[in-house]
Amino acid sequence: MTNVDVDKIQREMQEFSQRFARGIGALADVGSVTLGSAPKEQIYSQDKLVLYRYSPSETAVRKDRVRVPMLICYALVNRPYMMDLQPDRSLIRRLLDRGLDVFLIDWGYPDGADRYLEISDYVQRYLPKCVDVVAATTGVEKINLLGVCQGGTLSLCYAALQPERVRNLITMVTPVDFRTPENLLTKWTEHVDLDQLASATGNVPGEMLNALFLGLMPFRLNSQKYVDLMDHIEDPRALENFLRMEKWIFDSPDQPGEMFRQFMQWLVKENRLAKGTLQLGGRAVDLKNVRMPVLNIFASQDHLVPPSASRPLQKLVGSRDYSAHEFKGGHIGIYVSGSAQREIPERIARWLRERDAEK
Amino acid sequence: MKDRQTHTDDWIDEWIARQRETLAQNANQRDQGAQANPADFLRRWFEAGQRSFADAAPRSGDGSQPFADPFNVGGALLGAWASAGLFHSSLAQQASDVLDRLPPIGLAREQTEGWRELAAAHAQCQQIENELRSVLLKVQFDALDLLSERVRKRGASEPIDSFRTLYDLWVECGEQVYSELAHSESYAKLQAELGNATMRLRSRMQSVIEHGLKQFDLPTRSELNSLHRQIRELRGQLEQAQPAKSAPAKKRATRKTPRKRVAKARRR
Repeated sequence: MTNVDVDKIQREMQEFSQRFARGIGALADVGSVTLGSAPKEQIYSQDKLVLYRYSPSETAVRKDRVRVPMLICYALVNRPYMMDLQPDRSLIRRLLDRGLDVFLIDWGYPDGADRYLEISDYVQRYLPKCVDVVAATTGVEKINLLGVCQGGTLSLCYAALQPERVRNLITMVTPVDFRTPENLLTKWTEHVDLDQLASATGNVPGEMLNALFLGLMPFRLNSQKYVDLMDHIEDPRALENFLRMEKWIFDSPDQPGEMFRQFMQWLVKENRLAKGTLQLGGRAVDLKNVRMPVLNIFASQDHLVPPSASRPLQKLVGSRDYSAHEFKGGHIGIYVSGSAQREIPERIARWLRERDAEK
Repeated sequence: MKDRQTHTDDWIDEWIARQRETLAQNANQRDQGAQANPADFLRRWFEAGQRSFADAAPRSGDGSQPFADPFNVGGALLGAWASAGLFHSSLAQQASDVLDRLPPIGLAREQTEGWRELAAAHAQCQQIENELRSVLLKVQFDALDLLSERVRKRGASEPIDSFRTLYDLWVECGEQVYSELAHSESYAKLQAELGNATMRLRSRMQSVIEHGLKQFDLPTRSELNSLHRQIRELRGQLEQAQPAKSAPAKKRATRKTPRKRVAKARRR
């Protein structure tokens, strides 16, 4: 008996198998992928931390130049090269093209010697030192601070404690209210014994966090993503992009045990930052002290930091100059998607330029 | 046309039945690598692809191969705690065996107690792991039920005429079923219980290993931790003794533009 549909499906599978076989060859030819693209130089280092300054873009228009330098504070989870993954997927390059003077903190890979680092070490020791170096290098008192994801939360704490050093604050996919219904990671953390976790693991393994992140959407992230790869496995460029992204996703530093414990207990479980009860190094972290202009950028389909975790910032900060930008995309798309490349750097540069002329 | 649609549903039903069979077999065998007998061509096709890909694709961070079994979602989730390096531990099994033979009295009382705690932690870990595995297995069965329902609802107006469409729909159903579970309090508790039990097991294991290391005067993690704490305290004292550098220098607050300063610095 002839069945048209089954014939079609058989053809589909044969085609898939053939494409797959050719794709395997392409995969073998890709070799190792390169990461990071914009020229930069190391201007400071301390412990595992390295501070970079990116070379100015040759195509930047002089009159568009933003006077105040911008320091990017990335998260401790995953690596900061996501901000400059490749020439056509580089938020940093797009910012340089628009005349920004960009500095980036790379927190490095913590090891056993870092297991007792606390949030205060990052907010009151490392970050202030980087701000000092950026300020001294460029001859300004105040800098523009761009905090990304967890780095945004750290930046908020810093801006609340040392507002006199921050001219403008930009937060990108930054959680501030961790107790919203959409926040699945918070729900999963609720019953975890964090003291025991930090005590037993020392530094919390990056692989463990990755597995939890994959667990947020297991069918898509463990299966469909790799099946979809077959659609463009014969395209060397697309394959390289895919492998580059895989590298970034699974290149996850371990989290310093005590820092992780404090972050998860104080900020996630107890929501101290949003409640105004967070204390670091004996000082209250009051977001009402964040009176400088604030631009809050979040992604509408972010499954890691849902918009509901970022939006409350407006009511929590003391700034009268608050702007929000909702990007239509996800947590990763906001760095690398084509629309993000067009939309986000332009929004940041324009917003900063408007405030650059002000005293 | 009706006849054609009937055949379309047939192959989908067959695929879903095969998936159920595979899941049931995996559940019985408790062997993550076990596969159902690949009787139908759909399954064979997919497995051939998986094997080819598994040989060539780069490995993920936790050492697992994501494409190795695109249907084994539960195993991937359990990997979160497995990455702590505890499951399938022969050491824990040895502990359990030893316990059967050693009474917790006399000179070796403390060590025996340590092994007993280790074995108890291992047993608890396995029990919770089994519970979570059952829950995740149910997600996969429920996803197939939902898939059947969706296929029926689409009917002749929107027939599924490619394996890829069916696969994508299966993923959608899986995520929907899983999302409801993942947001539930019971799942959060169960997953946390497994995490806590895993960490207890790890701590017990560390204690037993450290005891052994001390017998040979070898350094332990506890000793390293003490050193790191002391270094941290000393460093803090040193920084407090140094003058603060963080305050901005007022002299820099001139009207001079940084552009000129940068240019001047470059000339130097």
